[in-house]
Amino acid sequence: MAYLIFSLSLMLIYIGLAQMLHVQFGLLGIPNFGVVGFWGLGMYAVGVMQVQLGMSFVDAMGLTVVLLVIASYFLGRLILRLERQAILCATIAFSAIIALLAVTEKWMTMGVVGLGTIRHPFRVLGLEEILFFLFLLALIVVMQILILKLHKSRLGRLMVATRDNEELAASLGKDTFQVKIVAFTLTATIMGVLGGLSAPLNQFLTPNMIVPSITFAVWISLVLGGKEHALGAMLGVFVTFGLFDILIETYAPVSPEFAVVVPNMKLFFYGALLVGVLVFRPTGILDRKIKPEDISAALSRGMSTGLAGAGRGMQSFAKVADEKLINRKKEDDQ
Amino acid sequence: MLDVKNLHSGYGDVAVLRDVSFTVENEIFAVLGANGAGKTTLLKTLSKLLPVSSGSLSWLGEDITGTPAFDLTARGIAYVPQEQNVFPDLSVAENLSLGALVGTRDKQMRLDEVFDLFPRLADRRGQSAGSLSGGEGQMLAVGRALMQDPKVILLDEPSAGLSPLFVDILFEKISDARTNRGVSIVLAEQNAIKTLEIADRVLVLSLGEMHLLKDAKDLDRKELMEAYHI
Ligand SMILES: Nc1ncnc2c1ncn2[C@@H]1O[C@H](COP(=O)(O)OP(=O)(O)OP(=O)(O)O)[C@@H](O)[C@H]1O
Ligand SMILES: [Mg+2]
Repeated sequence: MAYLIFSLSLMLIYIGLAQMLHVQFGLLGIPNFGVVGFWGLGMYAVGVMQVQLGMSFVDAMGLTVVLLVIASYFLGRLILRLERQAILCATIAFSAIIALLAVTEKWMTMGVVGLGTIRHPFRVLGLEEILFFLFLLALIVVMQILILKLHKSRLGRLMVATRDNEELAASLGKDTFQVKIVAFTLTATIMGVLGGLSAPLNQFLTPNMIVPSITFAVWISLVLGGKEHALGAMLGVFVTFGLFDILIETYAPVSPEFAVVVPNMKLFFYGALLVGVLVFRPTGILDRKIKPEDISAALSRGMSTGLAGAGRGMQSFAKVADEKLINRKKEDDQ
Repeated sequence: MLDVKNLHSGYGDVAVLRDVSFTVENEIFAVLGANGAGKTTLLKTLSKLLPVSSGSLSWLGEDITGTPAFDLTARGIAYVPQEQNVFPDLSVAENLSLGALVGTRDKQMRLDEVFDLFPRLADRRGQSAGSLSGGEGQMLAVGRALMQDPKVILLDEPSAGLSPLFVDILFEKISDARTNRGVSIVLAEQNAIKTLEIADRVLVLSLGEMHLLKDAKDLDRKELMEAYHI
């Protein structure tokens, strides 16, 4: 149970990261390949401030947000005018630097020895994990609502316009660079905040947590789910992390000698899934044109069909049972 | 209104325009010239997407030589590029609504006016702009510019790739915008014959320099041919 809550909390963190990447890449076309860098910076900042400086979680998080805003604003200023390939390289480099600093700056991070233990922000005996999970859930739901709103707003349209043709977007009368830098600073900061929230989840931080495979997993989820769709990030994480890490890794009856292989197969599984989906749907499972209303309509239709089907099944079951009963009675009577 | 003085511009080290000077009043101001003459370069410079190397630009008496591109929209300057002038992923209606990011007049009213002018767009409002025909795309681009309630539209080769019938319709609408809305037009074109029918004045560029500048009605064909055969 505790492990399930941990896994689900981690899944929510991934959804949050994918949501932010959706705004950056799906809407604005900024290929941020340094997701793990922002996440790791936030995680280590909260960890260091709590463990080394004895700050409370809330104080540490507040200061971390300031640090993240400064870091992502200056990084944004530096790279957002560059070509897309250059942005891609620069963000990878950024995350590599963060990972390196976690190893080398031992006076802060304790290096490879690891940093711990980070206490849970909710100090209610026995309920910490579940409260934290509910908090994360609320956060992700709020972000999802904001993203849905953004899609319907003129700001969202301006972002897509900037992504597709920045020169033309400039002639619409808004400072497109400012839109990009504000959006990037905000979303990169939230990636870091999600890292900060991962600190108490992981409790013990080591530099080898800041690995590129986290960035890849977030990218694969987003592209799989539909990078331009408001709900693509969420769906993508459900089918990758939710399906593999939670369902298969935790619940599938795997023999012990095979269990070691399973985590290693994860990225392979993700990649195969990605190729499979992209062959049939190049824009991901949720194409940009599918409206959220369509999804809820389809879901409710599916659900009602399912319910109706179940109802009909019950009915015929009851009928058959009745007939059997009547026949039995008849037989008994005779 | 638009005052261009000794303008030089180009792409990095490549100098294209040399010493171009003219003023645009409330009129249709045509810019003609052979391929590569510098028409697009001129319009891009006027819309501030290319930096001015030397010389000056002023608009309604204010110097705009160093003003960023996005700042011109609110001042009443709209720009329609020669290529890629719509957002293909967005619908017709979304493209038009992006034109209304500036200005105070009611957005719906502006949209209705554009749909009145281009009924074809009204029929296709939900269609994605990338799936429009070339002519419909040009209409959309002009329509989006009109959504900005501009005082001048810098229009780069709207007739490129259109059938003669479509060119007639489009030029009629451009003329209409000029007479009924009082919008000035700077019209870069290859289609000299059609352009001369609606233009008030004509600037002919040749290899980045001003070849001639005169009233459209005073320009005879021979002069024009000369400009194209240098
Ligand atoms: N991005 C660029 N970099 C360098 N030179 C360029 C660039 N774009 C255009 N040029 C050069 O500038 C000159 C003028 O080009 P421009 O596009 O302004 O011509 P144009 O009159 O619009 O032609 P067309 O009628 O074919 O559209 C050409 O010689 C062209 O090769
Ligand atoms: Mg041109």
